[in-house]
Amino acid sequence: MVGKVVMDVDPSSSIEPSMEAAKGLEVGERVLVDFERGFKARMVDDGAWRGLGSSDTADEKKRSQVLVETLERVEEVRSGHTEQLRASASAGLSPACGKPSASNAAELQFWLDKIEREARSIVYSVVVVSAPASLSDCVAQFYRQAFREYIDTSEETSSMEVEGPSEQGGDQKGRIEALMGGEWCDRLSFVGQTLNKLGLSHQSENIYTDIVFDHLENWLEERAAGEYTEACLLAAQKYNQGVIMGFLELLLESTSHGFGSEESKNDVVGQWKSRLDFFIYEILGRMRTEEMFDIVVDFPESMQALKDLKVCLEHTNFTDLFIQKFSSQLKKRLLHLGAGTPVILAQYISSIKALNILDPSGILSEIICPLVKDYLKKRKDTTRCTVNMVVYDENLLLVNGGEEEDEGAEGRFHEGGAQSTEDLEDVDLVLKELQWEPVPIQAAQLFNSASVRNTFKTASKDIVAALIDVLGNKEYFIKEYKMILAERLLSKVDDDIDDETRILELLKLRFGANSLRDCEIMLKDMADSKRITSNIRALVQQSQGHSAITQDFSTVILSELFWPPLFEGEVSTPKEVQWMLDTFGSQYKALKAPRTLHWKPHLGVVDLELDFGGEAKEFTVSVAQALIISQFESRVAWESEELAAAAGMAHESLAEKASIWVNSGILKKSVDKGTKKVTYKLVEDVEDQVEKPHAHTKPDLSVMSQEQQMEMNMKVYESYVMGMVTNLESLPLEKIHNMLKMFVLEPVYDKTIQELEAFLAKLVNDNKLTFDGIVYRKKKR
Amino acid sequence: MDLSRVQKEIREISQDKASGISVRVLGEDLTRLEGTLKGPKDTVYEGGIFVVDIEIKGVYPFEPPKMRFKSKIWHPNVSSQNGAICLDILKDQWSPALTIKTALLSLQALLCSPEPNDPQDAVVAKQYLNDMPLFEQTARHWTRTYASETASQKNLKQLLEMGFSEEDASTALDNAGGDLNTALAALLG
Amino acid sequence: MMMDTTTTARTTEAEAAAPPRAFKVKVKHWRTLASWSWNAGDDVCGICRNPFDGCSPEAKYPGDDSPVVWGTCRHAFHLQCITQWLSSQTEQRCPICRQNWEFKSAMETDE
Repeated sequence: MVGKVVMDVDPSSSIEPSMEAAKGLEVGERVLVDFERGFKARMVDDGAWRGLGSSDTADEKKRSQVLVETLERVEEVRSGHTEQLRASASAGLSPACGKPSASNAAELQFWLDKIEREARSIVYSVVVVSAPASLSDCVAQFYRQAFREYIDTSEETSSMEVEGPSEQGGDQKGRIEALMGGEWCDRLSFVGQTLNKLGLSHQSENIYTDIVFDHLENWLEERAAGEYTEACLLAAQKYNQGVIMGFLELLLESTSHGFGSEESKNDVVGQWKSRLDFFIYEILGRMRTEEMFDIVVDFPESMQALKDLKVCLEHTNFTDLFIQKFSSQLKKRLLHLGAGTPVILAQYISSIKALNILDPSGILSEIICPLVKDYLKKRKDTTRCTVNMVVYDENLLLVNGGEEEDEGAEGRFHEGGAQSTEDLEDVDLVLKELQWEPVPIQAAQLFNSASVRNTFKTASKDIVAALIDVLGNKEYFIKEYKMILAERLLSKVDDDIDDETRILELLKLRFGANSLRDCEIMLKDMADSKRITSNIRALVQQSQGHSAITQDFSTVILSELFWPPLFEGEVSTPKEVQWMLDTFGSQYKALKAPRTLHWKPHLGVVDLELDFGGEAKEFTVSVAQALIISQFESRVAWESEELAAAAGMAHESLAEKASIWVNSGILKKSVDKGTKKVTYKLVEDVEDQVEKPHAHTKPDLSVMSQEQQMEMNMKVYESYVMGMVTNLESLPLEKIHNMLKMFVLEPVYDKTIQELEAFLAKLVNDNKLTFDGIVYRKKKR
Repeated sequence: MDLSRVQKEIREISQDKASGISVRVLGEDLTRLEGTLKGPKDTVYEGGIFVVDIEIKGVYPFEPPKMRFKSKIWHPNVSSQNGAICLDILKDQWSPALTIKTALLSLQALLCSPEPNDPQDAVVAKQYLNDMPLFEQTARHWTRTYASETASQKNLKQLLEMGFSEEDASTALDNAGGDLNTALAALLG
Repeated sequence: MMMDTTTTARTTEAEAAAPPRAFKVKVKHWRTLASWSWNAGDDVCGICRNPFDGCSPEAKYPGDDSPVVWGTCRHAFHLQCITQWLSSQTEQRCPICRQNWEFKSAMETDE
């Protein structure tokens, strides 16, 4: 409308004089009137508005005065000009040039608007330049109080429909009026309008934005911090929509002297809502990011917190921050000497699961997990702990997936030609897979190596695969599993292998039957042994009548080639046991000729009951350990060499085997200061000393650990390695590896570079070599 | 075919560096191998490295591996045309207790003591029986011409035996102008 | 089973003080380990090159499933291996010594 009028007027001739006329004009009547009589008076009287009238410093006071005076003067000029314009308009003259004009009503309006605008901008300049510094404090204080009142009242009437259909502000306003009373609403509107008129809407917006944001932040802090079991995001958004936006809508309506239209109102309100929602994403996202480590600790109870964080990360650009923060939390809180390997592994698994919830594409976990993985690789007991965790502690095997599908599984997949309902479900799954989601850009930059991308999906989605990935390959896993299985089978006296059989079946599904053949044979040995033992027991019973192979004797017959290497050793077998070995052996020969048994009398497990003349204590120990303690039936004290001789074992291994009894408080070990001779003595008041009969009482093991095997296999190369570093001073790993390959023919060097690395690490540990990260040197003595 | 036995045999041969024989796998499966054997000392074949084509059939070890000289060789029991070998243990005298290694060693022995009375190549056998000097001359010539490694091949082979990849080894040798020690130093960093 | 340790532990009895009170070790169960072997030398089967105490090529388990047999020539093979060889031959000869193959009876083996 205004534009049209301007077009009607000759721009070059007519505007100039009126510009002159309008200069310095007009603050719309209402502005100054409101300011003088309403705004100032009401604010000051309310006590919320302390700045303008009652400033403490002289300077402030003076500035307030200047401001008010200036504004009054502006108003004077403005009203003069306005009157003048109206007068000439009513006289039928053009307000611009004083000539008669046909369209003077429109023209008058144009000039009035123009004067109004000019005056406004002057007022604004004046206010900006000379408003007292405390003005914004006053405004802030006012809004803060109003907001506080509003929130308090809202919370008091918490029955109030927070989730109500308040998206369109219509009943929002009515609701607030009902809640806070008309006067409160008027006052809020009035202050908003006035600030707007003074051109201070921008500053005041900053002020109440801060107040609202602070409040939201506190609200989230109170409700969400450290609390991971409940979803907070949705609640926060509802709170935002229902409560916060109610206040803001009222305010927005007043500051923009009413929305032009319903549409523009919705625009403004919508923008504000998104702005606050985004703020919630930021606050909650940041909070959860800082808490990520604890969230993982609580996983899966913390699922809701993770889901919230996922949405927050999707709506913000915090991914990099998240990666950086969580990585440093892991380093600081997990990857240190104080944390046991099982703890690290458990947290590793939870981390992968949690990260996969945050980012189903698996990229986050693929970026963050190597940190833990590389750390775990350096720990000696990682393999063992991993296998224990996968196989025994957690039920990870039952979880579907497994990249290591054997041929059988693949075959099934290709054979399925007909479309069964299952197939259709598969199609759905495939389609789901196809819904491609772009990789977060920041993450993608960190992560664009093609080869890595091929593996990350499987590795991070399948926990077992992820754990095996820590070990390097599945062979290490299977080898260690074989060790653990052997230990478990050989360190108990019962024949129950149901659990182990079930586990083995699950492992076979994952790794294929072939790679677990040894384990299968081990289990079959156990079952066969049980059967043969009972057969022979029956045979002996028939033939001998009185002297029998008793129920408390049993034998495990190993297919030794398929078991891990067993420890060598000797003991003097008690004669009852020896009799049973002989009888059993000849019966076996009769049954299985030409096969015969080769006894390993130093290996085996004994269930003992130690009777101290009172309460009896039970122990499950190795044969050697049993023989040691048995000697104390006849004598309370043994000098260690005699004891070893009595038990028929090597003196060097005695201390280690006897330690179980020393640790249990049954034997006391003392060293003669002069002769250095070690004596073991039965503890007098044993019953008080035996605290935990079954603590430390794991029988020592029959099978050699992987490390012990490796050491045994590698030992022959030690002299070569030492020779090399003596002659060549410093050598990197690869060079040592290649030189061994080249020069060592007897026995042929067939180790992998990883095996060599582990062996060199051991030599470093033994203070034979030093390693600076690049080259190995001979340790100077 | 008993795959595990063939694998074991190949591993065994590769670990035995003293016997002067070697074997490598051609292709994906273990049905096609290539063996080499050194010409025995103090024979007309000395200095030669003879390549033998080996085919392992599914019934192995119950049937002999099929062997044929790839390198041309002048020998009464080997065809000078196509390398076909006349050796009883590769035919009816085969036993599953024999191996690829023992077969190659038998070939080596055959080079030491030809059997002209049971010839594969009648022309060579006749020459062997009637004109020994000419036979020896021809056999030596063939050995030099068809079965001798050049120095660079020798060096490359040596590097391969140390476990370097063919590509790395030949690059290193090229850079070193064919000198073994320089190439080795480069490979070892 | 009550274990009599006197057989093994009386070397220094003279100087040993008698046990002042009843300390008894009762064995509730004694489990010992053994391994079995065909006793065919620690060698491998001349046909499949697998250890005798391992599996023959087609067998899943060692021992009962992979029996070892001897010829009168005293050469041993996995039963499956020698059977397959003999069935492919018109003349029944030992793969190692080429003597006529005859199975040695279990009685003779058990010498």
